[in-house]
Amino acid sequence: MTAVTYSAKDFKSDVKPVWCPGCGDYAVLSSITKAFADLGLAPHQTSVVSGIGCSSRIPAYTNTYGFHSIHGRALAVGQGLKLARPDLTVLVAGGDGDGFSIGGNHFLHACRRNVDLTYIVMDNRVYGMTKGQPSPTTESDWDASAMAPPGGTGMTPFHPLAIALAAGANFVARGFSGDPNGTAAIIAEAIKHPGFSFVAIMSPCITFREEQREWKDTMRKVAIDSTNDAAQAARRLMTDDGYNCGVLYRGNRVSYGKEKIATAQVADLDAEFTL
Amino acid sequence: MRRTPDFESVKTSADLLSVARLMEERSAERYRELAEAFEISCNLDTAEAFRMLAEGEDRHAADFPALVGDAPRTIPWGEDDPEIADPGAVHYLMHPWHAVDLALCHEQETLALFTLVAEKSPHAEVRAEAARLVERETRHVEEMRALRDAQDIPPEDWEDDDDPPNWEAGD
Repeated sequence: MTAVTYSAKDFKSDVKPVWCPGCGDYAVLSSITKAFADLGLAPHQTSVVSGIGCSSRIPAYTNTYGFHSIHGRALAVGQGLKLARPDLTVLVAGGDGDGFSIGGNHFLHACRRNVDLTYIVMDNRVYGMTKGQPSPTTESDWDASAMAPPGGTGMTPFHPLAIALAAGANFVARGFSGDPNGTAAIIAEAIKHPGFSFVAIMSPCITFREEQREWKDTMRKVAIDSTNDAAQAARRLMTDDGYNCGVLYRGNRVSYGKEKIATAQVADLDAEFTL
Repeated sequence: MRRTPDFESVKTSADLLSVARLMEERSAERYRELAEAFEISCNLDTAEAFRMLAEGEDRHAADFPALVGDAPRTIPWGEDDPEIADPGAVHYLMHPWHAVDLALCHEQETLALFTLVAEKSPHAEVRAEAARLVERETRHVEEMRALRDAQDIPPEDWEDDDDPPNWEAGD
């Protein structure tokens, strides 16, 4: 019997994205589906869980199991799914507002907990769906939108990679939507790596942050190898300007739940909830 | 995020043709995605222009022999594949003229790439095939230029939006 192989197209649904023309998330969707295909996965072996926001619409556009869940709580849902169904490849996706503001606490503890899943944040440094408010990763002096305070928020931007590393994520990387093939390769590596893998993908919002069109020229691939030494990775981040792409860190922590894999049957679980 | 094309990875005429066909197919796919994005944005004229460009790329792809065996997993020039429209180059208010002008730029970049392959490939067979592709792409450039010139030229204030998504503070 010939094994069935799936192409990237097989992982795309028939639902058409409602993202703006030129949104970086189109390319991220292509990178995700390419990564699934390159890993030889099947749609029924994969799941995409998201929160709320433009990028969080992505489960509708993928032909996998999916859950468009609660604002900031996608990681809670994704971790639960992975612990209940360790056979599934679980990919959690969302934006910078959903992941680092509303879901900031879940992000920290998901890094600590180190469940074997991949978390992708499509970072455009703005709340796009609600028309241009500053997000946790927005530059402190950005005030080009009437939705931003004059002179900017004055707050130091959240540094997702540094925080992921400090909180215990087992794989930390950054990609760019303008490099869909390179980003697909990073996502594939993140999925293969055991434990909690975090991939920040810079994905321009050219509607509310038109200047992000320039990212095509400012993003760069780093020419250094990743490290399994968290201290060395942290030192590299001290000189990171936010435009370096590649895998920063591959840790060796054992995934949470390896010794706690659910063995109960669904019928047993149902019985526990019977009134 | 530019990188030098990997000329060495295309070793035979068949390799080059399969890559060229895949480029056309990917280009058609991207134009189709853009057409859908513009439909969603209710810019239907530009959506129609991108759909027409997608159909054109489908025809270009069909000019090549069907692939035998597996399609190339990646194109040697990766994300710099010039036939693929850069989604960051579009604007939600753009006109059909802009869409065809974008396609013309990509055809010109493709012509430049095959010209480079015809000059620099280390394989004689590939250089000869690339020279034939240069003739073909030269025709595409001319056709695309004629198509663009047949479009209505957009007004100078085409980017102005009476209800902009992101207005300046104080407006």
